[in-house]
Amino acid sequence: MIGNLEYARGLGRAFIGAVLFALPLFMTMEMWQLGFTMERERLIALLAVTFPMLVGLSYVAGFERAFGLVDHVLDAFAAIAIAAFAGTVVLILFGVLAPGQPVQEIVGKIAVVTFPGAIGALLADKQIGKSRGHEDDDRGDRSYLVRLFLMCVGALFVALNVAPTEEMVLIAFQISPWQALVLAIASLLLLQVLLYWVDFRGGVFRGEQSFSGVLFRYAFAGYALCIGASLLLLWAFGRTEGVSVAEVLEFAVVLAFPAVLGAGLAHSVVAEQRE
Amino acid sequence: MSKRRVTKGDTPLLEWIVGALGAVIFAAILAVLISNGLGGDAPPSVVARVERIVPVEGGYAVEISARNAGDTTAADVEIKAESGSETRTARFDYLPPHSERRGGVFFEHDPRGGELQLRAEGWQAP
Repeated sequence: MIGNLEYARGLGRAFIGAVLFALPLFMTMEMWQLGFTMERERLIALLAVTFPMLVGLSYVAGFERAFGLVDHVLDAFAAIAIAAFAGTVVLILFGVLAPGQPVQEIVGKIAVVTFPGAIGALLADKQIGKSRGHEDDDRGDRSYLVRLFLMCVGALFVALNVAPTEEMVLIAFQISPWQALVLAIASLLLLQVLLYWVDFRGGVFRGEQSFSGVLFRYAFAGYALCIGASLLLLWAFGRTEGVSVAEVLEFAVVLAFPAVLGAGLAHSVVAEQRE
Repeated sequence: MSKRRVTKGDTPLLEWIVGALGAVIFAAILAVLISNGLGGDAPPSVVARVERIVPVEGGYAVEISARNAGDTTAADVEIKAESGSETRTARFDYLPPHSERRGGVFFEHDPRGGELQLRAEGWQAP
C-alpha cells in the first residue's frame, strides 16, 4: 500500500509523461483547428476506441500495482484526467486556449490531445521513475494477443502525432502509386527489422522464432494493424470525406509508415510488466 | 530467459489465422496500388455543382461541390461562380483524383432568380 506522497510523486511523473508524449500535438496547428472542425461523432468514436486501449495498456504496463479490472479502469481514467489537465495547462500557456472561445472549441481541443497524453501518463512511471518493486517479468511470456495489442497502441500513438497535418496528405498527393507501393513494402520490411533484429532489452522475438515465423505472424499482422490504425485516424480526422478508395489507401500507406515505427518499438518502450 | 513458447512446430492456430489475414490484407493493398499505378495519368478534370442556396446574413450562401474526375490531384483550384452581374470565387486546397470536396460562395443578390454558372478556372500540381 503506497503512501500519499508516493502517489503524488507518481502523479507528477505522469504529468510530465503526458506533456512529453503529447507535445508534438500541442504545437501542431491542425490539431488546434480540429477542436472546432472535427465532427463530434467521430471524436467520440475515437475516444471510445482509445479508452479500452488505455485500460489494456494499464494492465500491461501498470500505473501502480493494480489488481483487477476496476483498478485498470481507474488508472485509465486517472491517466486521462492528468492528460486533460496537462493539455489544458500547456494550451493555455501557448495561447491556444483563450477566454472568449466557445466551450465546444475548448473541449474539442483538449479532448483530441488526451489520448497521446494519457499514454504518456501511463508509461511515465516506467521511463522516468524507478520501478517500485515490480517483478522484472520474463518478457517472453507475453501472449500473442498482448503483443498485437501493444503494436496497435504504438501504431496509433505515433500516427496520431502526424495524422492531422496537411503534410501527411501532401506527401500522398506528391507521390505516384508506384512510390506508394515501394513505401508499403518498405514499411513492412521496417517492421520486420524492428521486431526481429533490433536488440532492445533483449530481442524477444529473435530468441523464440524463425525469421519467417516472425514475418508471417507479427510483421504481416502488425502492418495490417498499422493500416487499420491509419484508416481509423484518417476517418476520425475527416480525411476520407468524398475521397476515392484508392486515394484513401495511399493516405493510409503514408500514415502507416510512422505507425510502423510505433508498432515496432512498442515492445521495448513498454518493457517490464507483470501478467 | 524461459523458452516456453519455442518450438517452431508449436504455433497456435490463432497466430496462423491472424498472420494469414495480415498477409491477405497486405496483398490486397499492393493490388490496389498496382492497379492505381497502371491506371491513366489524365490531367485533373474539375466539375463544380451547386448543392443548395441558403439566405444568410448579408446575402446568400451557395454551397458547392467540386469533383475531380481526372487521374491526378489538383491543388489550389479556383471555381468561379457567376450570377447576373456578380462574380465570386471559391478556392479548394486539394482535389484528389476521383474525389470531391465541398465549399461555397456568398452572393449579395439572390442567385436563384437568374442563371448561376460555375466554372473551374485553374489548378496547381501539388
